[in-house]
Amino acid sequence: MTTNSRVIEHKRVVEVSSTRKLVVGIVEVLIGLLIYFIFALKTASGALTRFVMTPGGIDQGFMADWILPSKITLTVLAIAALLIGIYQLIRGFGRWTNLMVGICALFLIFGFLVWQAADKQLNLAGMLSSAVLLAVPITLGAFSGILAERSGIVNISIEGMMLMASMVAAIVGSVTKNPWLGLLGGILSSILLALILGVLSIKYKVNQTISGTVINIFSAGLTAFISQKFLQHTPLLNTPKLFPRVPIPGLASIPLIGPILFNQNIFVYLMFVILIVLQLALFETRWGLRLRSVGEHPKAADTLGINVIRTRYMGVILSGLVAGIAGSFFTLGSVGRFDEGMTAGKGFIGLAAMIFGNWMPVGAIGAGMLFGFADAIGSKLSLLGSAIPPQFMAMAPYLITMIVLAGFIGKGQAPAAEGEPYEKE
Amino acid sequence: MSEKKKDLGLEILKEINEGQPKDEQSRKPFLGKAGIPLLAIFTGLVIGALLIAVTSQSVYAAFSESVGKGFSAIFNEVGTAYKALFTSAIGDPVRMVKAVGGDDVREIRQAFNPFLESLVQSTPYIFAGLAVALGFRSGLFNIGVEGQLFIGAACATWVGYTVTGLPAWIHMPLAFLAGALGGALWGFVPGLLKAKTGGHEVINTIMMNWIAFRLTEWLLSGPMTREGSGGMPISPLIQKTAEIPQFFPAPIRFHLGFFIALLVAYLIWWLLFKTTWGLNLRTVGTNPRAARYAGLSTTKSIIVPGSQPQHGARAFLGLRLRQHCPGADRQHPSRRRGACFHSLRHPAQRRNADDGGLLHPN
Amino acid sequence: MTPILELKGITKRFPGVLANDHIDLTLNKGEILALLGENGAGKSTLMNILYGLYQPDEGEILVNGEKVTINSPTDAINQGIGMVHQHFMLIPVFTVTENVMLGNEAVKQAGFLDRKKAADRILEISNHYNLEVNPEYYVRDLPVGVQQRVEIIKLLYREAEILIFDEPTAVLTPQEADELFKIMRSLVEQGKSIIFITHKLREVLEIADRVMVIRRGAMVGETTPAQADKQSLAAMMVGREVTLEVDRTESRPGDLVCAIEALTVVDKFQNVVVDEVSLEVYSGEVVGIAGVQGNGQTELVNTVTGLQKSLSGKITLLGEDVTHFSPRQITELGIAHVPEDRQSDGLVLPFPITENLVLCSYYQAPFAKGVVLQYPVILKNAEKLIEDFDIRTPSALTPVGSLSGGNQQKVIIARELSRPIKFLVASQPTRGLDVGSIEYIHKRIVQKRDEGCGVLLVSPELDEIMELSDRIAVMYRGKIIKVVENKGISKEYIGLLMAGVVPEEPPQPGEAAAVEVTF
Repeated sequence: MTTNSRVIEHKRVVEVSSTRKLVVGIVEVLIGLLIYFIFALKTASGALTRFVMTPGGIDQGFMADWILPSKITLTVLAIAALLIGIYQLIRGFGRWTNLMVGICALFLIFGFLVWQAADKQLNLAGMLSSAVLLAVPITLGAFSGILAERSGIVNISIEGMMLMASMVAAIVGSVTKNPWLGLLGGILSSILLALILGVLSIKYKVNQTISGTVINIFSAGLTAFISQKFLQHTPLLNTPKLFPRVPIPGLASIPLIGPILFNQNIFVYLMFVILIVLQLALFETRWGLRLRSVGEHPKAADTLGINVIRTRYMGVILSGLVAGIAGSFFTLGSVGRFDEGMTAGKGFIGLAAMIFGNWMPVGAIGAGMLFGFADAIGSKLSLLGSAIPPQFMAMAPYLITMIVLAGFIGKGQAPAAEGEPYEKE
Repeated sequence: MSEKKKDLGLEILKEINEGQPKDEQSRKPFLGKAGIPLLAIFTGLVIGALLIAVTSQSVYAAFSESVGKGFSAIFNEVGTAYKALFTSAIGDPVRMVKAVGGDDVREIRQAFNPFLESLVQSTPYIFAGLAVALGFRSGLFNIGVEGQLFIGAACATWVGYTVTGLPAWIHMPLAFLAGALGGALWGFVPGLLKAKTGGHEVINTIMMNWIAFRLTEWLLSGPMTREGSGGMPISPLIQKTAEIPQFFPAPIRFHLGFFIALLVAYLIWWLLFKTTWGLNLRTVGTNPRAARYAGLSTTKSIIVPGSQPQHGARAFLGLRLRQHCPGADRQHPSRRRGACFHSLRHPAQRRNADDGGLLHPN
Repeated sequence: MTPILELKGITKRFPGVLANDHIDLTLNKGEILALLGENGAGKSTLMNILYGLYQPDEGEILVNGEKVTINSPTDAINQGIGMVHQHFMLIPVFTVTENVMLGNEAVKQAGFLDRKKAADRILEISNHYNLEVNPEYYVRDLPVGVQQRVEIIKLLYREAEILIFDEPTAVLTPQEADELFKIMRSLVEQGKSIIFITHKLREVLEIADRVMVIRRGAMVGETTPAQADKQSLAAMMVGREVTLEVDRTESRPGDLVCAIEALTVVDKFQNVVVDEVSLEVYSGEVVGIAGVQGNGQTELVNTVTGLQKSLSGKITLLGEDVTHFSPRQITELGIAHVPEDRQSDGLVLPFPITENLVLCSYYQAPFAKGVVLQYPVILKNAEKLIEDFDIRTPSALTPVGSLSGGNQQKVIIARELSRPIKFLVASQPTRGLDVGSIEYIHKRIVQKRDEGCGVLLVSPELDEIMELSDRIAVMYRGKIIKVVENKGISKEYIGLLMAGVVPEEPPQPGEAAAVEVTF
């Protein structure tokens, strides 16, 4: 007898499939060509792009402006992307393929900014800072999704939970004049919806997409009703106090990073705290092991004495809690007022971020930042007087979401039992 | 574990097709097939009454006087509201009887107008319900009817006002067709993504909704805006020749569209249950693996219905909106989002009978 | 001595079925008790009651002479009862350590996992019982036999005294099964007690100390391997004399109906799952593909029937190159396919029998005129086939999903065999069926062969392959490593091939395997 735990060695044809290698390579080459022919050629040769590296309204963490010769920068970016693409087509990057795609995408975005801001100035730090802020609901939405799906429940109603929480947070925050109570109210309302989702999909085993959709519709309807009936006539109910910016002493004065990450409001910090707690809890604790086991193979968990039903309820309720924070962000951390449909699909984009991030908190925040950045570019460019209609820029996150879902960038591993009601036979 | 296992459409179909255990049916035979929709309407009315009671100032005022007064105030409020609902949906029975007894033709028409108006209003819901039902049957949860509607409306409108000089019998169907193609295109994308990549159609159709809102917003404030609209997102009026013919003079809007909707409903039922195409589609929708095994084209069947009956819905609504309430699009698109979700509920309540909430298949 | 476990009068009813009817059972310390019965006889129900997954309607359970109530698996674990399930209760994306400690985790403060401590304990158990499992591997990377040992470690980690093995050999090669039997022996030698659930007669005779036979929910007899033989056990199990062998005349191979040349198929992760397979099937013969599940049989069948694309190679059916044909084109050539998974591939469960019976031919005359389906013709067709193939159903319009497994399979067999076919691909045609249905389906397949149809039969049940095939091809890790005439060869020989070992000389029946298998 030799060693027993031998891994089944399957022969593999190629590391990365040939079509994928080809498609990725072509995309990278196209990016290079795009940067050169659309951006670089249309830029006057003497033009300078000025990036401001300190967000407005900040009193610490200054950094000098960044001035680039537009045309040369664009040409360099184009050549770099072309070279990556050509190498990809000829040799392939193997397991670095995804990273290289990401780098090319960054080149594209950066090139786009350089082009748009040629002979003008653009507050890059401000854009990044607002990207972080815009990423908050998406990332928290993704965390919410992770909590539910890791326990085996597909929570498609994050959008509805966020919408409800944003309204309740606005009302409670306005009435009590205390944003903390507003946040609490938002969270509680979202948890209530999560409980409904839990009862429908765990107890009554309703198809989870349908129960989630029901909650979305209910939420959209009720918030619209209350908004029209009360909030629009009674400003007293819809003027919550915003959470202020809280610079973190010391860290906030680091140039560039300080203003972007450490001089934000409580929601940004909450996002990072939840990130760390969730990542550790999921993969290093008994709680996480059990939660994941229920999402992967509930029957196995059950045979080992784990209460599947209770664990799933816990997952869903925590999902509701995080969605509640995400929703409250809109009214208490960003806008300062409730508007109908103000979540604008962010809950669904959060689900896409979750999938993109491979059901991992760390991945989800990366994806969330990407979406936030796409959003920020849209809003900043319309300020810059870009020729591109703002409506088209606003479509970007939705398009990216669809691309992510289609798995063109690569598919992760979803929890195996997600979406399946657990029956004890 | 196979990916198909988590196939949403399949799950829904299973629930719809198998979700009625026999013992449950025997438990409430008096409700029969109509039971669930009736129960849903009843529940809706009860919840509506609760909401009216809770949100009415007069009820609070009455309760502060005495409990009895409070309850009578609730009855008052709810009664008034539902009476209004009834008379504006069906008509005032007293007036109807009187009008029929008299001989003023105009008065008869006007007495029955609320009912006719309801039929007019229900027309787009029939189409939209058909769209969702057909999606269901092919295993897709088409929640993006709203976006398909926006695009279809835009297309139909564009044909409606740019094409001139055609006789009505060509122009109107042409506008219909344009709307159908627009809606079909919008339904095609998530259908294709679902079939080819397995992308979740619920999320994708909602993303397509948002893209449609932004796109129409841009169209109506840019290329398709009405001259002199002062920046309002509103399109030019469509040509007379593109309008759907009405049966009665001006204030009564009852028109041919309602009958077209009935016809399409019947057609779809026939296609689904009497033709090879329908069997193919239902098989794909219920068990895509078996469909593949039996040599059916899964991709084609998933994509085609994704677009099919939206035809009517889109084109029709497109025309209707512009024709009779050109201001409808003046609102921000997100305002109008409710409409399609209503139509979505139809087939679900009616256990997906493929008639958009009209007939039963047997 | 008090028995370690006693069941008294256990009764369990499901709607319409009496799954367990006053069952009494005793298990003594240090013995292997075989619980023998057909699929659906009630063995699993009984064991699920013992394991706390079901609650009995009547009866009591005694452990070490004391009455206990078992309401959940936790209770069972606390009573020292553990179960190796037929479908492993393992989480593929977890490591062995995580799988084993789940529910009984070693933790440091604040609930943080102590993986090291658990892994040490697993190694200790593994060494003690000679199980040779590496705790750091991910379960998805382990071969099935090792996964089963992980299941055993899970029980030992919880210090179970009573071990229930539910059909443990279903997924193993004969050699792996022998390995398992050795482990079971060493477990009882060290004082554990085992209940071994099976429907395989050979295994009962080989390993059990005592045999109890269960039929239609009731205990029908008890015996020992010394007093019984295959015939008597089979008769007890089924309730009548059964012929264990199908009458099979000599095959008369005719034309070449299926030629596979150097076929290579990869899965979506680019693993080679079918590796340069070449195989020929002639009319009038049954070629059986033996092999442990997951060695490429499914993919081979799917490629031949057009459901999956090949990477390279060529398939010729009835003289036509069908390598790039669609399933429908292949069906239209006169090929029938009985799919491996009848419920998800072969049938549309909510649809009535009528529509399921024309699933492959509904678009052709006489079932359709143009695009319009001819329902009266479809109904008549169904009524005839229900008669011909003895499908037990209340009506032709009954949804297939409400039929029993055997009758569902008969619907597929009826649909596929009633067409004029020249080549039949049958993948696990009798999986999970009762003996009566198995006999019937075997007869039909042999009948088709005698009519001159070529048959490609795939089954992980070696008995079935050896019973029906004229030639046997053994598949191992995507390769066909040997094709032999089914004449005078032994099970052990095929078993070795299934494990990937090619012996020099085919050993004769009865002769012990000469080669030591290494895993």
